[in-house]
Amino acid sequence: MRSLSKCKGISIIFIFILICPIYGWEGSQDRCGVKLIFLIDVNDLMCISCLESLLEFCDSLPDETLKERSFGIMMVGKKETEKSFRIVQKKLNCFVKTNQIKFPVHLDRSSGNCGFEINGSAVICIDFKNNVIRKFKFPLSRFQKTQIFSVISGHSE
Amino acid sequence: MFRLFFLLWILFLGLTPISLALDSLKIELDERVAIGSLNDDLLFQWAGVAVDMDGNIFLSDALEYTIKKFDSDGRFLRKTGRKGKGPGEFLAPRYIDCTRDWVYVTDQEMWGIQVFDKDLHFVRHIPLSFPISDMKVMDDDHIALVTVSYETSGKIFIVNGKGKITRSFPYVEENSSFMMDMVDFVPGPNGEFYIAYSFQDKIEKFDAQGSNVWRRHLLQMRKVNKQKFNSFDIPTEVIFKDVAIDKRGLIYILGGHHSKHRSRDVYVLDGNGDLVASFVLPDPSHCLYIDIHGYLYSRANEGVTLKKYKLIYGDDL
Repeated sequence: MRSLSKCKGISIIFIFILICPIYGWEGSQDRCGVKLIFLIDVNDLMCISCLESLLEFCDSLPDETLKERSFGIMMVGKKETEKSFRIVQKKLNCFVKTNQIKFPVHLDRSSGNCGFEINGSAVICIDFKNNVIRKFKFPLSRFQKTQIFSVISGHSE
Repeated sequence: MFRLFFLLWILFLGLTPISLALDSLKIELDERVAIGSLNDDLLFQWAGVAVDMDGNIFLSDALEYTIKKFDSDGRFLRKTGRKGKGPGEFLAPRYIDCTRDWVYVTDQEMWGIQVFDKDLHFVRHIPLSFPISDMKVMDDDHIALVTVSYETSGKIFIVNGKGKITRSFPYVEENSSFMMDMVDFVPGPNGEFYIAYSFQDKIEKFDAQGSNVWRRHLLQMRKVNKQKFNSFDIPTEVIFKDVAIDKRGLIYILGGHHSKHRSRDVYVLDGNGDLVASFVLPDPSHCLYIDIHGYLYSRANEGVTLKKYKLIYGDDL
């Protein structure tokens, strides 16, 4: 179980490192900003109200955090067929457009290869060295939101 | 020895009623229309479907926060809606039904029913004091509803066009555990109701007075798996996903996770509750809809496509 979690963590960071250059985060000199990675469970996409907590949280974040310090990964799991990926990609495009998501969301085709079970959407706070500070599962409680804001502001000071 | 063999044989029969049932009627599906594909922007996650007397198809799209209208050949006509809580807006559009003049739409996140005209212009809002878990509009002044609300679950409510409850009857005899009385239902032509339980192996018929006429267990299941969530035990497997009725009065029940073909097996009962046929949908679906013209509608491509089939009965083959 522990090795699966580790595998998941490595997978997420690996994807993040791969994506960083695309969005100008590679070798960033910004050593004071916490970044947010939104992990979106594909199963939540099938039940739009399951993502309401994530959307509400995004609405409460400053534009600057969303546009410059946030990144989304759609966790696809073990769906291996090309057709399944295309269906999820179509739904993801609609989700991003209709909810005016301000950060890029990458469809992770490799997340099923680790053998772990995707278990709900979450947000991960990482520091400028790409170390994971905290992970919170949606839906977030008020206390958890406060914790995230404190992590963001604490590292921005 | 023979007695033991006989007993085992009886037990085997009892445990596999569907696979061994002699279908007295053969039903086949002939695909006529497919709306939405992987390459267009017609549908993203359709949730509810209804068809009017002219064959126009109305769909709710949960992912796009819209409702859409197509003609009987699947040509897109118009759509309306966006994310929001105002008139004509949605947070999670779900059930949809129509009468001669109006289209009725529920929202999973907002109580009440929104009413649109056939061109999808918002007309009015019917207020309700409970969330809806299934809706069938019998006419503009008789809307049948069931709810997931703890206080009001286990009953079918009939509300008028203003949202006032004019009648209700219980379909459960006593308080069941959380969510176990969730159902899909369909009214019959004589005021009766057919009910398929989401988390129990149970199909029931109630007459127009609300009395239980029969009860059937199609899969011989005892329990569904549950998961602890806070202080609640939440069922995690759906037994029956939907129920529909055709113009012959046959009842179609869509099986869920425990059917041989998950979310594809359809069991057909006659008005007496006898299994007369079964068939398998080409794609897993979350719902079944049958219009007055003898077409069956179901999902394909995980909600990106709606398929329309002509129901062909054995005696027409």
